[in-house]
Amino acid sequence: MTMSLGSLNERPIAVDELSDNPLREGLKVERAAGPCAIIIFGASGDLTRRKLIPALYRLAQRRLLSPNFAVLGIARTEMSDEEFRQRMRDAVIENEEQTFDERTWQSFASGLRYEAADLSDAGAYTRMIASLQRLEGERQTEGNRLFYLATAPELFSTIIERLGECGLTRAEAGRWTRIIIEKPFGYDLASARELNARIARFFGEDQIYRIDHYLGKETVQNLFALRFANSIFESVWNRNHIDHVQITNAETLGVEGRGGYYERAGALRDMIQSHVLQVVSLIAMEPPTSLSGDDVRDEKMKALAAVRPIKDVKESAVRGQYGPGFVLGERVVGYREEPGVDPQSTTETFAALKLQIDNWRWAGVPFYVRSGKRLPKRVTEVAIRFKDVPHNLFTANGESLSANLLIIRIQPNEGITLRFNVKLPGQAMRLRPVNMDFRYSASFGITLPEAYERLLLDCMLGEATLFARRDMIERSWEIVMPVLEAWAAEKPDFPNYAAGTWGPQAADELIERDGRRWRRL
Amino acid sequence: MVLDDARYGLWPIHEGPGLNVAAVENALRSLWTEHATNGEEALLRGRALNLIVWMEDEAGFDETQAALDEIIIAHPCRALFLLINSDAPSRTARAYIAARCVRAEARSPRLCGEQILFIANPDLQAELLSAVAVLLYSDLPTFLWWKGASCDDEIFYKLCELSDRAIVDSSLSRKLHDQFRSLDRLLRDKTLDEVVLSDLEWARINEWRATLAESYDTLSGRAAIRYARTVSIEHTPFKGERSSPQALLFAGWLASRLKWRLITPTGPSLLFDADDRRIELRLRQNEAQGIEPGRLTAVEFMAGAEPSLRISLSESGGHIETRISGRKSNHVARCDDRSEGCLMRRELEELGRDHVYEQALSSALEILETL
Ligand SMILES: NC(=O)c1ccc[n+]([C@@H]2O[C@H](COP(=O)([O-])OP(=O)(O)OC[C@H]3O[C@@H](n4cnc5c(N)ncnc54)[C@H](OP(=O)(O)O)[C@@H]3O)[C@@H](O)[C@H]2O)c1
Repeated sequence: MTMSLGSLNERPIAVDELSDNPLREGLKVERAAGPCAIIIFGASGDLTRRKLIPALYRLAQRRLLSPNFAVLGIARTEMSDEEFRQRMRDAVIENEEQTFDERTWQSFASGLRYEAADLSDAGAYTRMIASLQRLEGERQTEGNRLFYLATAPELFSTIIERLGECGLTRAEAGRWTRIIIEKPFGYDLASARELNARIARFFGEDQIYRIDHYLGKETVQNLFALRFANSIFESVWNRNHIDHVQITNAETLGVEGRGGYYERAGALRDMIQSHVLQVVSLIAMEPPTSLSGDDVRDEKMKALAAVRPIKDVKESAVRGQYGPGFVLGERVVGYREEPGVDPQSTTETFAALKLQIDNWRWAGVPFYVRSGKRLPKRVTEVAIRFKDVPHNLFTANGESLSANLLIIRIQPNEGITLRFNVKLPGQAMRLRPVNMDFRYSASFGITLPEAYERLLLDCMLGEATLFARRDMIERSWEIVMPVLEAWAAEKPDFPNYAAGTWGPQAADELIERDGRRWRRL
Repeated sequence: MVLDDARYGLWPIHEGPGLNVAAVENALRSLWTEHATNGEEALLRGRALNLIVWMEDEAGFDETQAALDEIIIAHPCRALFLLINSDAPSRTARAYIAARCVRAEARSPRLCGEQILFIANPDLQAELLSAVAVLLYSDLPTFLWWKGASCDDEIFYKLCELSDRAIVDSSLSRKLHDQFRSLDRLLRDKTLDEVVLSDLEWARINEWRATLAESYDTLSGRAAIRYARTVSIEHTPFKGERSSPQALLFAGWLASRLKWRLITPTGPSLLFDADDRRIELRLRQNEAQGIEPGRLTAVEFMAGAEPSLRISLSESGGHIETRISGRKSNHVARCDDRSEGCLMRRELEELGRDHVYEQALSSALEILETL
């Protein structure tokens, strides 16, 4: 395809040629997004103001957005373009107080438009197309489109179908059309499959970007670097050296006013099915042949496929719900007393699973995962517990040896710790475990970029590695379904842990049955 | 130089003949014990790299010291400052050390690096070199920040050999032609271990390169660049030279990236051959007030009489604006922070060779030789 150059009377430039740019070579930032329009459905919502627009603004500030870039925000709330810009400006200033630059904002904001529309109404799409085309003409976005579904999940299917019916889902040659879908992706396996099937009717898999902001986190990406850029870890990364793996995702927060949403979700759906299983796959995967989209995702998928189906739910899964208690020195109410929550709620705010991965690398190495709200500390980490030494030379001195641990801290205090034993100074052979710490903040000092920044840019560049693929989503639902079904069939005895403790007693028993313990965090 | 130790938080360790490296090493050992016992708040001691800073002029000391604090936020390091002072009595030096602790954000813990400063008579150069070798942490990346006026210098070569990457600053050079020639020669010198070089003047045009690359990503911008017959590069005057390091490096970059070949100039202009056309390059001085010497102020691409693409510095000097076919484009980019600390912070993120810079330098030298 070629485009004419207007006043310049020379050979037209083929659009395909645009991808290669000799002037980008060697720039600190080698790839910035090309021209495109982002259509945000749910633009008056919390996600847009807290995450999406601030991330796009930061990309603009870092010169990673094209000058020919536009946002069309859509939601029901009536607002003019100017009001929308003003709201977004306030949101960006809230996030970026120190680095906010008025002129960069003005230049960025000139590409922001808003259209009030009820997305369940078919007529809304015709109006939207007209606005979009006008905007695309003004901003010369070259027909590239990114739809962002930032509404409640109930609307996802309707929006996708309407886009399809209006012919907005297929890209013309030389242009691209992509869609980002927010989590939660489905409510269970059947609804996730149905949603996938519905999207697949209108979008090709290469157009679909299922976002899991966990994967955009710097420390999660660093798992790749740790495993595949260092020879010392990969050689011991297997059943011969590793006793078990613990993944903890602990929050001190409760449901923070989102009780209505959480009531339908629960810890297993909200955290484990999505984020935690993604982390499991990164720890368990085989080395990919390259870092490109499908090579990495194929390996992650193979790891998930090897997770043994949970048969005995009572043996392998524990759920909990917090009652009143004390967190960070403050008295807090129980889950059932939170606004928007049913006083008889059976939604779990804590879940722990024991997973087994049936392949050569991991046979016999359990992965214990837990996630909960109102726990004593906010911490997300992976702990690889190595095997004990085959023979303890120090028993004569009454010394029991601590096992080696490799701890990967995802948040906060992002970093890596290796624990090993050393001799205490003195005549006697006394041992102590010590930690060797790497902290991002101590080595690099800088603030880590926000996950949404990275993910939005990747999507505009067509780089899908950090997004979940259809098979992965369905597989992770398959893994948790037996647990969800068993739990749905039996009324739990909730609440069963006090806010500010590490979850129900049964969670300790889950791991202690195997002669192991949760790490004291 | 009379250093106000208290102001810089530097501990005097030695004053007199030689360098007394043993005393410096001892003091460094006790430095952290003192900090550990006196400190009321948490300190993070980081050790990500070694940084050697060579200075020949005390005038820039304040700025360099401020730059170090900024560097430590991103790259906690051991910084070895070597300040040459011709007024110091022959064969004497003074040595100081300091823990330099900074806070990236109001609530983050203080992150510390360490600084060693030698102020020495130039006749102690060989001793300085051996002191550097002892005081570098092993196995950490080592950077040289060369703030000397000439790169055609024995000690510069020697320090390059101790470093993984050397960052020079051509804005400090006495004579631009000599500077570019010695850098180009150094890069070509096969007898030296591979030297990895960069120039802060190159870093200062990064935002211009990025802005032009962005224009090249759009149809109209690309057409304007590809079909230009005349390209002019404007800059503020630089030390009475015909051009400035920034303008020359930018011109060299354009020529090397877009594969323009310089042909013998006829008259005052520079002519290049591109595949299908001839391009005239004009280097123009802009007398604008209040802008630092040698800074780029505008770049224009013309196919006819009017510029089809112009990127220029905004009046305040804080932004770069783009005009395509006379119309203001959507795009305004904020200029990066131009402080030395910020530029160095970015330089210290790189370790490998920058081939694009090397080719730009070689083209810039070619252009300079025909001026
Ligand atoms: N917020 C977060 O931090 C976060 C994090 C991860 C994932 N997510 C996911 O992101 C999505 C959005 O979350 P949120 O927190 O931003 O929710 P929210 O604040 O409730 O926003 C929902 C948006 O959808 C719009 N909307 C609802 N019904 C509509 C209709 N019929 N037509 C047009 N617009 C409609 C609402 O605007 P009007 O009322 O003006 O129509 C609002 O802009 C959800 O799927 C959520 O699970 C959010």
